[in-house]
Amino acid sequence: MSPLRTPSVRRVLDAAGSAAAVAAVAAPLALVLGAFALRRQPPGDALRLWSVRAWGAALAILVVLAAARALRERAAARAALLLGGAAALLHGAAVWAFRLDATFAAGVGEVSPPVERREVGPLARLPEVLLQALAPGAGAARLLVGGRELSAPLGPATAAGALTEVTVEGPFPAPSFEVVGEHNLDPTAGLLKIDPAKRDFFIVGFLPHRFYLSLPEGAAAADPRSPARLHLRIQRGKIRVLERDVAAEERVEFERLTFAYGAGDVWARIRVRRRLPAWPGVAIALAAVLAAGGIALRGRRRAG
Amino acid sequence: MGRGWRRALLAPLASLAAFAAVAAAVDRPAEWLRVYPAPLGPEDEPAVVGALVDFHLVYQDFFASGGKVDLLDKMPAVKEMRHQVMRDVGYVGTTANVLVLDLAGATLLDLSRTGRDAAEALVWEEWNWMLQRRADRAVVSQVKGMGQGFRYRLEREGGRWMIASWDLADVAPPADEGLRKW
Repeated sequence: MSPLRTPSVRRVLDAAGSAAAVAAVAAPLALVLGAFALRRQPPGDALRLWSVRAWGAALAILVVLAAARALRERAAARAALLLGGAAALLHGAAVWAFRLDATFAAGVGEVSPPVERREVGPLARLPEVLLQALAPGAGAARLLVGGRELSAPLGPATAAGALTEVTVEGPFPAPSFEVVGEHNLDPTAGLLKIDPAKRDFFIVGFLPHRFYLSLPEGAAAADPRSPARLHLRIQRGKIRVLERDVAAEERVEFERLTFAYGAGDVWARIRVRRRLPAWPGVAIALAAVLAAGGIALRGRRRAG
Repeated sequence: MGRGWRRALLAPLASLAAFAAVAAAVDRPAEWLRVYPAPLGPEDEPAVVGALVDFHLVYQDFFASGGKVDLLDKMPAVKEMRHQVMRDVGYVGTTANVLVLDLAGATLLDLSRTGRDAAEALVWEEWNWMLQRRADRAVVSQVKGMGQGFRYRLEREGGRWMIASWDLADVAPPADEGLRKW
């Protein structure tokens, strides 16, 4: 005889698959989700709690046992409700686990640009993003997102596959710069991204200085590849070493070093969002309720 | 209440009690339910302000000593921050001078919790500084002064609050009355 058919094991499985057991395990989860909803925190965030994960796993097992018991007892309406509910919950968990919302700050041709992760589910993978071309005044950018080549207009969201959309903002200035030591020693050069929305700084090699560069107030760059003037602040620790507007190609001397910037390229902010649609979960739950209702009604008619 | 009801309520109540015990042990639920940024509670405020005060005391001593490395161990700052300070002192050292910094005033403008183990502080600071020749401590620059807003990000590591980073903050010099100094 299978161990599952022994009376004692059967009794335990029946008790575990009872409505009371399912309700008992579901009660704390409902309370936690309610608390998250009241505080306007995304309910999916509750899945970061180990206690919620443990109770959720227990609930999933009990729902399967309850559905098996319902099928064995030929209670089709109950089985439909339980299976539909379980599928809808599973779909909700998948929506949370695969969600992706990340913004790349990509220069033209830059491989693996820096990324700011807003929401990345534990099963979501960040796509490779490459800004292939973004000509000032062109109105659209050519991109590679997860191996898919696309042309995205600047501003509105563009589909990049069935569930993914991409929004491109730019072009923003990425001038070239050079910092040179005393007697032209240890020159460092490169491109730097200037974000018109915030003041940011960069550090050069092992120097302790922070270079804050921004567009001067009210000065929109005609050609973002070569802004005529930039506002420069050089900070070393607590001390402001220098702060003023500087012109392109001007050599700015400070603390035995020289800074200069010139024409460079552009960069863009590329936001990638991927989210499974919520409607299949709702449709499954609704179908389960309708099926259970239909089965119960038919059973009542037959009995009548 | 009948026996049937009591029996029906027993299982959910037991489940709730067990859940609360597990959550309290592993999840710190009050922390998870908090919406950030939030005001810094009285339980953390002394430690956060203390970290800022200690950081600046060690910062001044470290510069004045010309980079006495064992002082860095006393600095409540993450490794990256200590490296930044080290680089700054090292750079001044290449000129055979010592930078003497004096925090003349610090006004705490804002303190907030930004995460379970993260906080931010906005401080208006007034500094005086001058350069001394390392060899004989002769003053080789004028005494200069400056006022500037700084925003500090702090992290709690192993129960200890540490300065994780700082940035400039554009704030107006505060009026003297009613604001907290340290």
